[in-house]
Amino acid sequence: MEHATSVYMTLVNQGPPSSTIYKKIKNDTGRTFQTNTKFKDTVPEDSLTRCLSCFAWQTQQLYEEDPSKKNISTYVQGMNVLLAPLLYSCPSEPMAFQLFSGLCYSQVPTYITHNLTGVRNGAKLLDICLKIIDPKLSKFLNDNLLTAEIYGMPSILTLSGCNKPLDHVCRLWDFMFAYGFHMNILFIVAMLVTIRSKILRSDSPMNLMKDLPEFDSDEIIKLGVGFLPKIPPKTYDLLVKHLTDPDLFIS
Amino acid sequence: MDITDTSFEEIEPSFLDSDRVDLFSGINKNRHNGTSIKQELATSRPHPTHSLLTAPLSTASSGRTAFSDEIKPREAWRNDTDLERYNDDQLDYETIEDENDDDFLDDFEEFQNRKDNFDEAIKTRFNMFPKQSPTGTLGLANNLENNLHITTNKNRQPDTRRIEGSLRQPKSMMDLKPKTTSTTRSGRLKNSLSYGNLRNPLRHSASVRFKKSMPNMARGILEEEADYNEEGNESVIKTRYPSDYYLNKFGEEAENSGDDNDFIFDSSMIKPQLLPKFSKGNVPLKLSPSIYNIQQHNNLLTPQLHKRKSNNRSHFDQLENFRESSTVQNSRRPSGNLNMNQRAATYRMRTIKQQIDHNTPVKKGDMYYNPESMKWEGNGHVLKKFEEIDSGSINPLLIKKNNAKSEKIENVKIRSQSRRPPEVVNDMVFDEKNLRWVSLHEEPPDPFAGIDDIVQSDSIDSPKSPFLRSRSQTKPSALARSLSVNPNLRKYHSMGGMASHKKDVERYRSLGNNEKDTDKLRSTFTISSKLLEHCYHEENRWNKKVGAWFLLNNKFNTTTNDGDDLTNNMSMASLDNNDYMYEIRKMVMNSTNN
Repeated sequence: MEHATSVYMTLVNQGPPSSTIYKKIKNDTGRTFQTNTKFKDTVPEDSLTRCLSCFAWQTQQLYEEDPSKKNISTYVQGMNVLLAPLLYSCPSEPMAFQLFSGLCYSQVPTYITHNLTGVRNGAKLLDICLKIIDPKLSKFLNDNLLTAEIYGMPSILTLSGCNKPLDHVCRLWDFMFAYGFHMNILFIVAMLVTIRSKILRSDSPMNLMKDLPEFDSDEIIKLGVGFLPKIPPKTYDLLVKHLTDPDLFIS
Repeated sequence: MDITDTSFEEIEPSFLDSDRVDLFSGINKNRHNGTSIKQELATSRPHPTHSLLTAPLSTASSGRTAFSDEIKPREAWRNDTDLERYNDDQLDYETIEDENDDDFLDDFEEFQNRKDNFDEAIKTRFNMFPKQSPTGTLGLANNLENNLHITTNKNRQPDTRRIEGSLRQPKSMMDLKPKTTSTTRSGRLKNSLSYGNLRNPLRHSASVRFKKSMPNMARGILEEEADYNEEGNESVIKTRYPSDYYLNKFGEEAENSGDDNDFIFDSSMIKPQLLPKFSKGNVPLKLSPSIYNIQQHNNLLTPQLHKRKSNNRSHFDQLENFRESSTVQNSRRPSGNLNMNQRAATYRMRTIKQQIDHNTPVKKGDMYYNPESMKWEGNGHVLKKFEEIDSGSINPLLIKKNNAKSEKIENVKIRSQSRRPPEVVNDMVFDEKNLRWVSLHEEPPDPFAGIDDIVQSDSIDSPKSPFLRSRSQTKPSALARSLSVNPNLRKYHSMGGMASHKKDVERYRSLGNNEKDTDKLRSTFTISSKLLEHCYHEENRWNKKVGAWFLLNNKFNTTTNDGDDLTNNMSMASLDNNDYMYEIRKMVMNSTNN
């Protein structure tokens, strides 16, 4: 976190990124937690815009440094949600940007690629994990042609940041920052399990799963950690690697 | 004068011709147009023997004096007889060259203007004969008379006067005799016009009634004489009246003449020449300065003295008159000589004193002279200005200027309104900002001309990151250090910086649909100083609280600086260090196994 402010200010002074990127940013920042008044009061939209713009500049900087990192996108939809919990929880904007930068580049670099390979692998892993943990629910969803790529993409991409409430998201993230964001797949499974009865009873489970109900972080964490013994070691390796390994392909 | 000259030229040969009768009648026919005066003169000449003396005497003297430069021209038209006569003229001229010209002209006027009274003119001429002819029997007689009576000259003076007063008796040989006795004195005084005026009762017959003024004059003369005898200082006598000096001279004669009742003094005749006019208003005040206050009696002050200065007199005379008008002498005069009367004593002055002393009232405008302190007073109010400066809380001038400058800085509007024009001297104008003189027309030479801006990165970073100045709480710029470590970053920053600062405006315009969006965009990427301060505060707070718990990438970047967070983070991502992710499984598995 040292020199976070100076680095951030340097990037801010570069102004807005290219017009295409900036328009994407501005298109998403206005919708970020639009209904969450507490977040809106805490985090101004300009902060989201600045941080995302700075990340765009920083990503371009990374291109110059390492051409192999060119798969990392300057901006993908969902970054605003990834950034929002950080801005919401961090005492300062540069610190949030520092955490966001570290999260994107270090923890989930495969999630922010152009083709979202990490998210796709994560969806496959979600299906695997759900099938291992709750075969009945998995079968129910498959019967309804509801795969993880359909219902699980937002939660996977945003690391459960799109779910409510935000304060519990922050707790969940706090756990994941400590033990790894591969736990996000298990936490998503835990969320589905919590509403399992509703999904199974629902005629249109997709509407229910698209906008998951509010969750309890402590309950989700307990369930998620409790799923670990059921997860085979290979699968667990995939969970860990899919976040950072762009070449990983799960069939 | 032309008339007189022409008549003179005509008369001159007439006198000569009259001496030689044949010339007058026939030879000099070209001069026959001479007036009848010539014949009358020739015929009426009482003493033919004197004609040789008189005629050349008058003509020669007049010719040399009035036409001294025309001797040569006269030779041009002169014939033999004229040449002969000229020789005589030359001879006569040498004998009487010391004769006064005015004397002759006077006499000649008598001939010209009083043709009807030739007797009188001739009488006047005859009076001159004895003294003006050094040669001849009459001259010898005069010398004899002088030798005989030189010791008793003064005693004979009344007789001489008496005889001269009887000049109106013409053609009397008896009159000639006394004239010879009064040669020197009468000849000397005769040159003066005043003498003739005084002594000629025919011309100034009304002068008799001026006898009434004689007592006053006589008294004044006596006073002056007394002072003169007492102090022996002639200058003091002069100071009374400028005319007194001459009157005193004349008075000596009057005194010597004793009780000469026939003496006639016509002050009106003397006054235009010698006597200064003392009008009634110019009579000096005889008040002692101790009896009035100079500040309260403006009418008693010295404007009269200033009036006198305007007179056309010499400076010496002005001073003398001032000394007369001063009343100092009155009060300082001692009791005086017992022989003098009281009035004479009041005019006495013993010593010459400084003109402005402690008793002299002097005032000029609002200024007046204080005799006691010997200072000029009346302008004390001028010093009040300085007293106000000393007593008041007015800042010194130098600080005042600085205050004015600070006021300008504080209030821009006032500065723009009350801005004084820059000080300009010739072609130079004073630059108040840099405190130097700058030429108006010539551009000052650029000391950095021809030197390129080498350090572009610094010049770019500084304008685009004004907040770097505020990083006083942290170490030197991490960006700078990261740039020093990674040249690629430097390149990126330089490119980005250049793009940012120079293309900001274009980018803002391209992003913003209108001016409002552009302004909003600018505000988005502008962080206030307050927010910046908050950021630094929180950063330091975090570093202080939990910074020690993080040893970032020590095992990976032991050789690099620990502050290079960006590169370390990126290296972490590339290294795929996810061992910690297995920790939770281990813990769960261990707990479940137990």
